[in-house]
Amino acid sequence: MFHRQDKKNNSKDKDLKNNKIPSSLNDTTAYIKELYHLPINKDVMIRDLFLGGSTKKAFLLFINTISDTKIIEDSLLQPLLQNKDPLKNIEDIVCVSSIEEICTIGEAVQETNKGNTILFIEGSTSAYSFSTAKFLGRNIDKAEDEVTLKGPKEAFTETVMTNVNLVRKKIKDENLIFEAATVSERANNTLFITYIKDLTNEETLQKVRDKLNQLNPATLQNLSILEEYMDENPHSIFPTILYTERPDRAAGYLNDGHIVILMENSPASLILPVTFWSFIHSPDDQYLRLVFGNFVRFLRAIAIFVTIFTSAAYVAVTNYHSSMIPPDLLMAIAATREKVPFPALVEILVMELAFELIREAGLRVPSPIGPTIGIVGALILGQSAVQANIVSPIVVIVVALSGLSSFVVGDISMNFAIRSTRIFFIVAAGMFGIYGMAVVFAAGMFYLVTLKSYGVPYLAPFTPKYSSSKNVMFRRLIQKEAYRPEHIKPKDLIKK
Amino acid sequence: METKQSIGLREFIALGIIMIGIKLTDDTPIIYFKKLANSAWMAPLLSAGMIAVLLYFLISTTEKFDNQNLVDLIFTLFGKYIGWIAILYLWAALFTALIIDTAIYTDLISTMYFPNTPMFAIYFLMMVICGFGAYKGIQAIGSTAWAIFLYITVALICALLITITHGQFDFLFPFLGNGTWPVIKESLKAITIYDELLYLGILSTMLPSKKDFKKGSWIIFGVVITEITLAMISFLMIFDYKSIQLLSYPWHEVIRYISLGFLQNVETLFFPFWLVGLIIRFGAYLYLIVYMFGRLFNIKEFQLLVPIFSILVVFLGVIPEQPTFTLPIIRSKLIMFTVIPTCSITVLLWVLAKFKTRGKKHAN
Repeated sequence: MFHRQDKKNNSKDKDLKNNKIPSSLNDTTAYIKELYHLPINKDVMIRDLFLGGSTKKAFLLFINTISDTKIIEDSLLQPLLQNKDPLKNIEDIVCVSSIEEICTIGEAVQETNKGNTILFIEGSTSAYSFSTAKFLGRNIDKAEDEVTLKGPKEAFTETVMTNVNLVRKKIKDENLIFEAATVSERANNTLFITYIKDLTNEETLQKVRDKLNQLNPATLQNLSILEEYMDENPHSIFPTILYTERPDRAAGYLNDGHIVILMENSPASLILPVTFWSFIHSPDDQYLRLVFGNFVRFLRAIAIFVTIFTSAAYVAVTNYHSSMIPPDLLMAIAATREKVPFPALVEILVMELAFELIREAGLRVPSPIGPTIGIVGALILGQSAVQANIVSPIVVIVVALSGLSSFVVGDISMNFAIRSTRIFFIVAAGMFGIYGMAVVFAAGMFYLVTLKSYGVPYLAPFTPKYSSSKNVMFRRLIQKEAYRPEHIKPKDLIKK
Repeated sequence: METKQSIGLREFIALGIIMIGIKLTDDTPIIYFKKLANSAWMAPLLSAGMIAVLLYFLISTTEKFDNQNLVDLIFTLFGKYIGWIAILYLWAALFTALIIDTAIYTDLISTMYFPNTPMFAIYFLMMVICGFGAYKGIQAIGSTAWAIFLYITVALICALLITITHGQFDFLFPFLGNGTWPVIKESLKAITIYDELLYLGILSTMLPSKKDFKKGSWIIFGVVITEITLAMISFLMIFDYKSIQLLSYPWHEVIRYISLGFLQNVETLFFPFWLVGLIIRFGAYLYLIVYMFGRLFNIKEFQLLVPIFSILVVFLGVIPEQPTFTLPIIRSKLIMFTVIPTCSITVLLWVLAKFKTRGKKHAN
């Protein structure tokens, strides 16, 4: 019963919104009052006035919590009231930066919801919208999730206009386009598809536009949620869209011909299409000196291998290939495992689970009781578990090593991806030793090489080959990075 | 599903080298050591001349017809009916080879590394993963081959270097083993390597151009011959000709024999790379088999056949009892059975192509 009532109300609202602005000011007021549920709604303001000079009746509509009342007072009300000349246009009276003429009630409401102020005038079937929006938000902060030693520190904030500003600051180019799009009908959030017109591939761009047009979610809070909508393989372990909070990174990708999506309420940007390598790289690799940057890359590669393979290799070697270990080490492992009642596989899985628990708990715990987690984790899971013969000391080392290494990959999605593949390898190693690991590895490779991000092969330009600046596993001198990545098919391949 | 597949030159070369080069790790070398003793390593080298001629025929035939791979060529040159039979023959030969080879390798894995794991489980897992690769297509297999190519090569070079430094140079003598004539006679049989090069002809249209196919095939040919020769020399230097004749899988004995610094047993270091190579090889085989089958019976979405064929391979492969002893015999018989037809198909194709293009020229 209530449902039906709601539906009726909704469709009625929609009808109202489609109406043209009536010439009678009383009718307009009635519409507005109904749409905004006045006077229950407290921050929606209707300010009646007589226009100076012509003494026409008019009213201003705005939401005082999201608009700048100082602008409304100084630049709208004052000039409108004090005007003497009846022949003057409204555009010539008020002194706000942007004025738009609108014709329907729906548009008026939409503009008001964005923080703008609307002027309705008796006898006129159009109204004026003045930009007076003032949304509150954080100041520009330091990047907290993607830390660098050298290079810029600023990060995106929740206000999209600030983010646009940050990107424009880095690319002063008339071809840099911020194309507005609105995804969710109800939440009406602003979203910008950002690209450099003479670099970005039109086909990919159209694909992104189509994808955005296709989705029509009831609400869309922010980019983290949009990421799932935009992802072509939402079930995949491996991410295919890069989420970054660093404007310098976004600008770098824009200059290569990628597409960046910015959105209101999101202190980040989405970059697409991207490849596997984008997730492995950190901006610091470029900012540090060539040798050190590459050293860090090398370290990261090792860390990935350690994360994926150490625990699994331990299980495989102790269960199936014990002849491989040098005899002394084998004796040492055997001696510590002697008192432990569980098979190596269970032991490793228990410790991995414990490590993941500490990680997750450490993340969610309120900061005043944070240190407790460290003590509990280190003491109980490290020392006491060994003393109680639940796990052997070498397992603690193995798991700690692989857990620690996993955090060398900065990107949060790729970090999760790598940590979850580890589990597949451990189980396979427990069942089939190194044979199982090789099988899982081959399966993973078959999967990765066929994965695509908006038509771009995931492992490009490594395989299949494309010409690029060879910034894959290692980077070269920046002077030698003469090409944009060919696999994203930029309009201009050579950097100038 | 994407039916039009493409593969880059790098991926093609990596795939070819892994597919054919991995032969040195099974019992292929032993077949020659048994008959040729010390001079076995000359067999691939001497047969290289013959293979080069055949490969030249194959490449020049494919180059004459744009956008036609080996299967198309056979259909256009042999005609609808004889072509069908020729492809059926090639398909049957490859399918049998796949069954026997997978059985041999599974037996190898289970006897050398996993004596307690049931052979069926190993076999089944192997075919599941190869099937997954074949289902993803030759592009996926080729890219994977390229991705691990560097590691496989490094592992192989390391193993060969260590082996040669461990070995005795004197074991190479007497140089000609059983004498000149047997060497030449057996070398002619060593052209089996060509069989697989012929099947690579099916991939020729997936490469960017026929020129790439030409370049790739010659590189594969050169690398594989060198690789196998070097490996056989190193086996000989470790074991000498008498004891090597008693072995089944010399490569695996070799990597058990050698040691690297403080690591006494390094075989497990080489084992995973070898396994991935194996998966790539059989995955590619399986893809070629379903592709040919699809062409024979006009099945457009041939990749959907992969699961059926994978399972079929497992069930046919576990039939032989005492696989360690029976399979090599079956295989050597199969080799004798396939060598002459594959060679004659190549030569016939070349001759027919010559006539056909000449006829066209006259007409013009």
